[in-house]
Amino acid sequence: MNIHGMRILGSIKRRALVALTTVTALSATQCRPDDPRSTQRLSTLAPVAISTGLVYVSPDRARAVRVNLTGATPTVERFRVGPAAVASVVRTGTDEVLVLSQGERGSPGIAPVAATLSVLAASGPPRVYTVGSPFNAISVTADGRFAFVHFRPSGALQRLLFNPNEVAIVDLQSAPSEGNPVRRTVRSFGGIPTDVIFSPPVAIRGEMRTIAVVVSSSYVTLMDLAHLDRGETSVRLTLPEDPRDLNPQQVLFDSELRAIYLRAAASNDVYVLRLDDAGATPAMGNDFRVSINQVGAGQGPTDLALFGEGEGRRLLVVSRGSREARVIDPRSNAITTIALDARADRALLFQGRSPRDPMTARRALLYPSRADTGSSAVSFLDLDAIEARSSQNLETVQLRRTVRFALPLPERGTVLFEHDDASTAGRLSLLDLQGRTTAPILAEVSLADARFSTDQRLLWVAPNGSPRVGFVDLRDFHPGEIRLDAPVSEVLSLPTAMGSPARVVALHPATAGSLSVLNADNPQRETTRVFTGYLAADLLDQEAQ
Amino acid sequence: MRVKRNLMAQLRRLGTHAVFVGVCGLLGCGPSRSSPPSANDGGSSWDSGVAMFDSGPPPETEERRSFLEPRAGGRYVYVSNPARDTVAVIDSTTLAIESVEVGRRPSALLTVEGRDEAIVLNTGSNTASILRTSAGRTVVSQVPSFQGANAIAVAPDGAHAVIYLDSELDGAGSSGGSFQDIVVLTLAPGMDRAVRLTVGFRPVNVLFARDGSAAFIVTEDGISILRFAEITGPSIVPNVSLSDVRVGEGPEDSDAGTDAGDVDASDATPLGDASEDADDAAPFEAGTVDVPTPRDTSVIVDGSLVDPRETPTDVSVTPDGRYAIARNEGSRILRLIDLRTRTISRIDAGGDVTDLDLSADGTFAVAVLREQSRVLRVPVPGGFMAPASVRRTDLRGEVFGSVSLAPDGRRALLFTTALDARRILVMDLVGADGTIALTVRKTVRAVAYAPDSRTALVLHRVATGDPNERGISLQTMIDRTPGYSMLEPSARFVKLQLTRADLGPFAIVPGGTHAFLLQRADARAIADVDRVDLRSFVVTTTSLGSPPSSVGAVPAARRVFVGQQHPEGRISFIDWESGELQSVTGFELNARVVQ
Repeated sequence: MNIHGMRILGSIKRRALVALTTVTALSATQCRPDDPRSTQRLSTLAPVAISTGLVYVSPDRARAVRVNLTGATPTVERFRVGPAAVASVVRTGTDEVLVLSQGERGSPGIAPVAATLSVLAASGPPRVYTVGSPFNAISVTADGRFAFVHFRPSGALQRLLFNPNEVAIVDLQSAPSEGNPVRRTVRSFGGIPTDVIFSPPVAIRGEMRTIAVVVSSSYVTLMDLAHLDRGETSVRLTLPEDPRDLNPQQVLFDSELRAIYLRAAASNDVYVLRLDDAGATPAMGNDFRVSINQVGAGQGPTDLALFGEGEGRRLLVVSRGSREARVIDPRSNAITTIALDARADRALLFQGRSPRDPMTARRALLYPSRADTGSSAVSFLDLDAIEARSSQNLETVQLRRTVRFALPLPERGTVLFEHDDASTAGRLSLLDLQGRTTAPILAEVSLADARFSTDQRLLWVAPNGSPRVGFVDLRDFHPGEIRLDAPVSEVLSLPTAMGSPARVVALHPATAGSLSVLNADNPQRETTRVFTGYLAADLLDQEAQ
Repeated sequence: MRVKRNLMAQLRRLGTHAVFVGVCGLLGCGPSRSSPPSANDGGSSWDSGVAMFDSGPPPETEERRSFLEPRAGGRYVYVSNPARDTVAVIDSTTLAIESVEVGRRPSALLTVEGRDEAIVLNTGSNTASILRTSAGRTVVSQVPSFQGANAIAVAPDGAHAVIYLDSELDGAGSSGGSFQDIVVLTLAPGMDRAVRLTVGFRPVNVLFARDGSAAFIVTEDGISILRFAEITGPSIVPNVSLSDVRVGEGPEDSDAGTDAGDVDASDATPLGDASEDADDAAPFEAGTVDVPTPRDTSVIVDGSLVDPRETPTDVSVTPDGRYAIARNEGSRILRLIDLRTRTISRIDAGGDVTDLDLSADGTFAVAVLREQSRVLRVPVPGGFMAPASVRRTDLRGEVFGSVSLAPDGRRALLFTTALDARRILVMDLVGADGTIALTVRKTVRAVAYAPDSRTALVLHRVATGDPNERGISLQTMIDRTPGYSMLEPSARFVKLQLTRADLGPFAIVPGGTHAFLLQRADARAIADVDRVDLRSFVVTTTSLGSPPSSVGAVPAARRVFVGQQHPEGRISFIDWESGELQSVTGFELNARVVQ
């Protein structure tokens, strides 16, 4: 992930349910077996980590459970949220959790309930915003000011009629009201939104703005969150007669140039959207105008990265298909192409020295991150004077084994590579970015689900089904492991509050909830605390609901 | 106003690329021309082909802008898109693009100088569309044209335009039609009107009176004069013949005059004994003939002044539209046509006139005789009535065959595009500075005066051979490397700038502060634009994403546009003061951005 940019994740991962259990029977003597009230599922959405602990959301019970792990014994708080919750996320920069619920259609004996966005504050009752339609996706701006709820294609709609291009924008700093959230229908060219990405603050006419980029197949929609009364801007990526479905894969923002760089599947171009001041602000119109540039980016561009400032601002594009890197001047569209010795699909920018240059300078590592890249080497590209020196600034380093997965650790000046072949030199390679040397690390686990501690000091791994969690101290790459009392399904790092110890939570598959809290500063089995049953504590307490 | 018909056809026969005649405004020639000059001219165009001749020096050449390129109005740039039957209207300040539907296969397009108004010829439907843009919205009206029309000229006042068939353009006439049809457009919002007329054979250019009241269609048969106020409907427009059709003999007295013109010694480089040269002057011969009334070709002229060549190479018209002055390639005769009385006066220059430039105010012309190393300053019309008033300057030993007059008429640059000379002569036409020689480091392809008359650009030829060949001299390396020079005549200063690729179109901004020159070498992926600060001669080179093909100034935005070859359409805008560059690609996609 690049600064100010993000890759668009698949829809499933974010909202994956953690199936803790199936059915818990309540008192069979009180309710008929087919009464919805007679059964309650304990399945929850993926828990959300906040600085004090975890928040679980149970869609069927319309319940959120906040487990406070700061004390010697956990405390549990329960909140009512809307029924049929589909997503829960942290409000950026806070300990508040947003819960998006699709509501209840209504059935005999059960009244309809509107779709809502509930905000679980650190204290007090949740704030509930009625979003109206059964959206299933939520995105939050980097400053935590706005939540953007929308529909992402998946599964059954469970509604007779549904407008998939409707969105709702919630101003989380304002109380729910008639005008909050703002509901809009995004202009469509036949597609539906697949994701929403937010720009960093962009200065437009002296005012800092956040621009929401609503991504759809073959077009994007830009909305100025500071002026939701103004219309959106729709930018097509193909002409109407073009049969291609261009699904945007990566969006990169450039606040300095007020540009948005976009990479799409099935396109060999990078799309550059510029936001220029409009000559005059029409009523209900935006005070910026969007223009689009198509820049050739080789075959199958797979990653974008921005570097340089001012006149030296450049876009680095890695294209796996044509085994090349391109340096693009976004102002002139001038392109410098550097043929690579090894296929790469990712670019990692870093500042550092090189074996032949003792000066700290901007450099890039172009590396394979997936097994299907089929590459066993990486390329270093020195970015200073790249247009003049071109391939003179290129150095290839052999890893000698095909890369299956890569985990960049730029803060540590290294990249961990996972290889298919673990027979001789270990499953992992540690690449030192400055020395351009590799060292093997023996490992039995994959890095694919590795988690950093919040301070990025430790890297945690947990083989699924094993009771052990492993960690690597990224300062000295000293490894360690701890045996827990139950198999581990996932490891989460809790955001570290000021003055609080860093903690890591290992989740165990258990019906009523089970977890182990580890001291991330000094992980030891002896100091690990285990909590269980927090999800079922009020199961029989109907009144509490 | 002038027409320079160089030997394009001859060059083509010789297997060279087309060499275009120079852009009037940019080359510092006459006061007006058939299409808007410099400011929104879309730059000029040429190719790198240099004709090679088996014997004798080739004629002097000038270069001519390309027609089928983006054109700038006051703020908007217009680009025709034949594939989609649209014209892209690009806002140079916001880069907003509007795709406007016009007729079928829009091709040639021209803007009205200083106005956001464009005319485009729809070759697929034999119509013309008139586009007017205001506040980001373009209104289109359509008028009939004629089959084969491929060129447009707009009067300086923007009230009228002439559509014609320029036979020198690629593909001219291949789709049928007549070389003698024109359409006169009366441009008025909501009331655009087209009138079809018949003129002489093969119009080669259209010139206008400065006030826009009249157009002068230069054809092989002569000049067809259009007084717009008098056009009421389709008609035949008679010619004022420029050729000397000898159908009888009747000698007239030829009141030959002589003038021992002054030749000034150079302050910088002596040019020889002026008085000696003056003594060599042959007397001018002058004669006046009555031009026949329309359709009357019974011309009797003095045999000594008969010019057997049919079509003038150079025709210029004075800003007031009263006179045209013409020369033929390889002829010693200069002709003055009184466009009001339809009479022709001529003088014998004493040698083949290789170039002829009319001053911006139309009060005098400068003729160059390469063989004699002679310059004639010819008062207009006085020089044809009183040959003694023609001032002759012989610059013995100097090689020059072309002239470029400063827009203010104070200086003339003398040079040759045909021979391997590396000198440019600066002739003071009004003061006492005489003529000085400036050394340039490469041979000359074209010279363009800046609109402020202070500086000039000299575009150089490129010698064959590898400039990186080992062991060659510095001069050989320079000869083999493309480049141009910046010239400040008053300071007698020249700066050579070598480039990575040969030069393409260029533009000088209206105030004369900056010039932009395009370079491209597709095989070597070179696509550069040089921004030249003409106040300091500092050059900034910027690489573009695709081969540049056209350049022109957008005065309202103080930017230049650089049109580029790109399948989706690409144009870049450069702020001429700051050099800030913005590009936009994909005109159709941009036009479909819903704001």
